[in-house]
Amino acid sequence: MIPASFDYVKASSADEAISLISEHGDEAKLLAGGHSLIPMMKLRLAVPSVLVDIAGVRDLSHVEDRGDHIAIGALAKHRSIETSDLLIAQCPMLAHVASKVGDPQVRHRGTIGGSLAHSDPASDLPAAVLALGGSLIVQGPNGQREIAATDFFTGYFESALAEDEMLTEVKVPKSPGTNWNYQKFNRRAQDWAIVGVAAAQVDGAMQVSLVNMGSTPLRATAVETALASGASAAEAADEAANGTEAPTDLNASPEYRAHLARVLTKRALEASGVE
Amino acid sequence: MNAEESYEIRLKVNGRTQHVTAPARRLLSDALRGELGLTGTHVGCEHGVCGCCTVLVDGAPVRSCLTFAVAVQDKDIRTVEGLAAGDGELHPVQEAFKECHGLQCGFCTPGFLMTACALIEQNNDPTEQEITEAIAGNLCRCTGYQNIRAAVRRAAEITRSDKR
Amino acid sequence: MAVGTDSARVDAVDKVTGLALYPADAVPKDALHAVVVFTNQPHARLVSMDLSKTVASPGVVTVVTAADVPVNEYGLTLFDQPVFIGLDDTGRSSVPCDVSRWEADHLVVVVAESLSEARRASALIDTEWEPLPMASDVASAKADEILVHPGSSTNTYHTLQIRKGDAVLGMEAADVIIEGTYELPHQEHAYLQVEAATAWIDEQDRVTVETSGQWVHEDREQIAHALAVDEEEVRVRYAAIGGAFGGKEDMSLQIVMAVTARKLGALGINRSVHCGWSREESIVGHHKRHRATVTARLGATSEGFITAVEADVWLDAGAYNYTSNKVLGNLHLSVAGAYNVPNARIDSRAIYTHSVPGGAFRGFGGPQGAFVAESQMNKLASKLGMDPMELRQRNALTDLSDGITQSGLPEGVGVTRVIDACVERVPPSEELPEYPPFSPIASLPAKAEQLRQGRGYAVGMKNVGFSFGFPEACEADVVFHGDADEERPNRVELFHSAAEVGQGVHTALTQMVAYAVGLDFESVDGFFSDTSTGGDSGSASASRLTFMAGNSVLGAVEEAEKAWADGARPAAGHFRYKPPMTEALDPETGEGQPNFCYGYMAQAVDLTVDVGTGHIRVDRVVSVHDVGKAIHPQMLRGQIEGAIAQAHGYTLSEQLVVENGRIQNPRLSQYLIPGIGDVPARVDCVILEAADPLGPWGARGVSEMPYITYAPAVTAALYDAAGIWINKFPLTPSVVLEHLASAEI
Repeated sequence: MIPASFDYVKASSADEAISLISEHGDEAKLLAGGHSLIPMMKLRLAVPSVLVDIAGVRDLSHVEDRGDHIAIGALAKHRSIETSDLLIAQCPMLAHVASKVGDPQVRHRGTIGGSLAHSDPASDLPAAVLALGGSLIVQGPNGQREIAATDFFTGYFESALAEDEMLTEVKVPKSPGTNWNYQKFNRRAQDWAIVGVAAAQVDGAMQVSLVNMGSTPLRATAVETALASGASAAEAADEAANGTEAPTDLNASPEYRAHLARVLTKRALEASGVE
Repeated sequence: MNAEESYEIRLKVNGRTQHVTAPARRLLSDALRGELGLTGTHVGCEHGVCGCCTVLVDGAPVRSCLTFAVAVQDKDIRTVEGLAAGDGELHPVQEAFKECHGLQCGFCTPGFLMTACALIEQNNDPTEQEITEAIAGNLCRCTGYQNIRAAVRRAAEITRSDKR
Repeated sequence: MAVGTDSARVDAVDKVTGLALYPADAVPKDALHAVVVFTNQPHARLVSMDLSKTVASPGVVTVVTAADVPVNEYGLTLFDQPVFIGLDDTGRSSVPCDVSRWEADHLVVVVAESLSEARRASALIDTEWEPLPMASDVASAKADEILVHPGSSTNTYHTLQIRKGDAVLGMEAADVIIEGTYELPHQEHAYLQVEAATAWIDEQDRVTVETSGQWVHEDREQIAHALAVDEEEVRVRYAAIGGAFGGKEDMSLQIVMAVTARKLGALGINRSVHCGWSREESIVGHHKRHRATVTARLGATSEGFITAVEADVWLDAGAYNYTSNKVLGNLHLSVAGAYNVPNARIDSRAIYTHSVPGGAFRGFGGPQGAFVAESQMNKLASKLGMDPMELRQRNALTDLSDGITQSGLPEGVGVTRVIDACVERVPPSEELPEYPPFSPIASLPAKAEQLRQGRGYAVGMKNVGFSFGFPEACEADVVFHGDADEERPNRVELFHSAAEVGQGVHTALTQMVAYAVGLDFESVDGFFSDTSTGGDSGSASASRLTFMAGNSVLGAVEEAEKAWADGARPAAGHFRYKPPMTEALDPETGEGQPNFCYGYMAQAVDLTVDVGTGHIRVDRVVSVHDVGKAIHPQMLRGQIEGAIAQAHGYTLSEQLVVENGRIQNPRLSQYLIPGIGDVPARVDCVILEAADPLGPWGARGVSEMPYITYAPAVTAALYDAAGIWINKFPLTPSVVLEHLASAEI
């Protein structure tokens, strides 16, 4: 398995990266850790003619306290999120979910920005940021804009990022304490989730998101609505698959995924302190 | 078809800087094995599942089959050939895998050694859980992992006694 | 170094330093590169093939086709497979070569200066195929409306039967009858080192192939047959072998690379040629553990004495025989289990289909047979409300039993021994211990209310060595070195062809020679797996090498001792060990002596099932083995732990999807072999050493035995935990959940 040929350029700043992708249009792709992109290139599911390597861009690997929220540079690696004292104290759910991504080799290479921009419905971190109600800072030729995580994932491996934009930062609200949980079900430890459920209490409300239950990472709206109107964890969890279109593959049927979504949602809610 | 552009790639492997002329799509695993003749790094699945191709990049375990050589220029790369000392004395992880029979066919072994090396160099007294998590990205089809786990434990022990 | 103690492996240093060279590592700098093009047609007739664009493509040196193979046929036990599919061959083959019966049938070898040039050129092959109707599974093939090999009138090409006593009367005498239909799945070997080979013409004009396999002399014989040359004109040697498990027992690159090297030689091109398969090519391109369907009935009295066994076995052989006829024999014998069965009717068939061939895989039919036999016994125990091990003890074969083939068993039957030891270690009446939280890695903190624990047992036996009258022998050569005036040699050379597939046979043989001669380990130099230096050892299979190769080196040492005593310096010893002859079974009754030695085993499995998701975690396995003698205890435990991990994948996670003769999931991201987070949390090995009368120091064999009993022990533990019997596997979470739902747990 060898990818198709491409030209390689290294960007040393976000501005440079953006001007390079603006120049090459949809033929260019950003390369950070490469752990989502390179497997797709090997299978020729992605055939970019130019790769802009942003791994060396400085100042985008931060994890910073910004008062009411924490800002994470898009190039922060899963491993540094998993081990960040700030996140462990102020947003423990994100640190925990990062520790559940793949295996050590993946976490040493993969970045949060890459994971979100890739918009894989089976990924862990997009669901975590969704459940936390985070937002994403993207930068284009005309400056920055902020996109709510709920508006970011627009389709199967598609996001609200324009061709000439780059994701630079992820913001998550501070959400310390123990009212959160992540349930990841896989057939083999370390693999992608067959189904995952992230739950987090943010500003007093329980927010729930689902992994691999549709073409995008998604919020379990029906569950949240039920909880808001006073449903128990068990009652709310029954709604987990409502309105979803779970995929089918060699690992699981849509019915089995729907079942898992209900079981795992109940567990996630109970572990988050919902009775 | 246009001729593919070649890149002059500087690779610092096992402390030695070498130059490789290759297209951008040259994987680190292929550059190590083909251009540099370091065939101790094995390729088992070719797409990031088995961990046989694991090498250390700046001390961290990385799958060389999912890394472009051009993207790790000037980084400090270590392969299984760089584990033993210049005089041939085995690294503690090598000694431990030998002693504990942490290998059978040996094909997955270099990947396990590099992953274990990264763990031990950061934490020479890992718990069972830490050992399991550290080597969870490497597949072995022969041993059933029991002796591999024992070997990592033993490697930590050797490292601790060396430090004393 | 005494036998029975642990030494370092002879290959350990090379393997931990990266110096060990596997077949894809030792590629000469000036080697040409080859790509083997598969037909990609599970059943189609080749109408035309145009190679002109391929030949004209940059860098291409030559192409190799059916026309280049003198005798275009091969097969380990039947010549039923063409080396290449093509429009014309030399007419000296018994198999028509214009029809592709398997997606991985070979079409062309493209040789070029570089791999990328060979790949690019192979994409330019222009073929036209006429699609032919498919019989892609046993259900469609057994009607014989579509024939896989039209030379024969039926796809059911090999049948075996057992008629012992009167099965009808036996069933009538039963108080309880257990019936079941069992579906046994394919399994992919997934050795981590995929197929690769380098071939060249050596300085003695021999076609030389360096690769990884399980039997250099068999590879050589097959190559010589296809090339129509004497075996002496062919040399096969093995590089380091990155796992095999039966999957490298049949030909992959051996013949095609030999043909390619010879063609290059004929063209006057004196260069090596290398080919390495990708993981996908490996999974698509080699045989699998057989899928099979077995319908079985077991009759017993209310006291739990077996009165009769009936079974019908349908084995999906796939498009070519490989070793299916032999695997069928083993499955056939093992469906009755390790028990006294007074009345039996067993009918077994191997059936050709347009699908991936079945072939050798650790256990060789034993795991499929034992799943049936032990599931039936576990269900019987449950129906009778009996202790499952007490039930087995009542029916266990002993030295006095006549066995299912009515011939008596080789001396030293160990069934009752392993049952006793297993029960002593894991009493069926004992409460299940508390095991640590659900899984060390997966985040499944299920509440206790959704977890169920259970325990299951299984018992079995597996032959050591080749069966059914197949010629069985093993050769060894040793040379003692030392001065004329010395009483004892100071150095010994060992020449042996036993394939080191990872099991440690080179270490064990070195250890045996050192101990037999009275030298230390380092004074024995081994030269292995090269047809130009070693005699025929037979294959690394059937758990046979400790027994067979052990006896061969003991004999060779004895011969060298005689020469040494006669004053020869150096003193050479050659020996060919032959065990007692076995027999093909009587075609009507199945009577006969199929084997000369068995290993015996019992297992207890504790597991926890999450009834919310269907996920199973195995908490502990206790694996009891009568091995005769543990030559190297640490490597022996490695065989047990490794076999259990593979059997764990077979039982729980590995699911090969084959549709209309095409494998749908040929990647390790889709075909899930277990990692450290998946295998049993704990494996306890219990080793018994009741010496085999013929084994070296009493040793039997072990490498397949722990595999065989695992799946039925797991399904019994699942029944114990959740009250459901599942007659098929892998027990994927969704399968378990479906059964739980229908049982309303």
